[in-house]
Amino acid sequence: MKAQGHRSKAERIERSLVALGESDWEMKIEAAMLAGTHWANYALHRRGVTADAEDVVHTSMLVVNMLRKYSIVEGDLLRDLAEIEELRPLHVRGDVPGGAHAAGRALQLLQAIGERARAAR
Amino acid sequence: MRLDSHIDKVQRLTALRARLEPLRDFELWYWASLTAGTNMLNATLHATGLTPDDPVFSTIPGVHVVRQADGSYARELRGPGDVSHVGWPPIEGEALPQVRRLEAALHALEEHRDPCIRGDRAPTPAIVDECSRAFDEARAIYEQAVTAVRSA
Repeated sequence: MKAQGHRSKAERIERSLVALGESDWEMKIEAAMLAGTHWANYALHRRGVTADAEDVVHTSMLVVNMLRKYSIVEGDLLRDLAEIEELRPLHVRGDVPGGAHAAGRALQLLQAIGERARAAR
Repeated sequence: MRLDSHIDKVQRLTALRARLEPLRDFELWYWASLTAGTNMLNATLHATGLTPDDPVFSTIPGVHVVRQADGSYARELRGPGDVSHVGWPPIEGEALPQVRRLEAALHALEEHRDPCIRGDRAPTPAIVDECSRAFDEARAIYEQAVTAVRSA
């Protein structure tokens, strides 16, 4: 997908977050993962590291060498995205207490990811 | 994950789904449907005895997150348990026809994941209708399975 398409998707997801409440921690974490991944692709496309046809889906699914390559230019962003991904088994696919707090952290990370991505040239 | 936790997630995600506007909020409306649907499948698999409702959490097939003696959580190699998506991993062997129908409904829902969520296909009223039909079918099968196990 082209960079602008990723940005539009990320911003649509962020706008929908207003409908979510305190007890919707699974979808806040998932929204952070989905929008954060679109922001990651936006930044990587903008920096010319990945082609439009080479989208990242999950950082955890990347071959190690590709993650190393992408991290040269967007290491902090990809670390933040990986931290969001680590919340999913515990609070989305699991029932560990503290889901609302984890969701707050996921949204903080999404905000940081979005700020970094918007600055990508 | 425990059956009761799947049921709790289905209830909260279904309530959230109803608060989202399907076309305007398509990505989260769809993802809430999909996540609720996967919990419906796991609950039904537990209720029908096809997978155990152990307090461990799915990641990729064969790897679950498990609470350790010191209270931390770590990935472990394990046998069948919760699936993270329908078919991932597949449920092998004999299964009741309603379980296979539930899986088929979720596969129909999953058809729209990559094009509409990861790609740039714009959601349409027809796509929303297809997703809603798949969700309603999955929910009906799930409710029957959970009711049966609770009244047994």
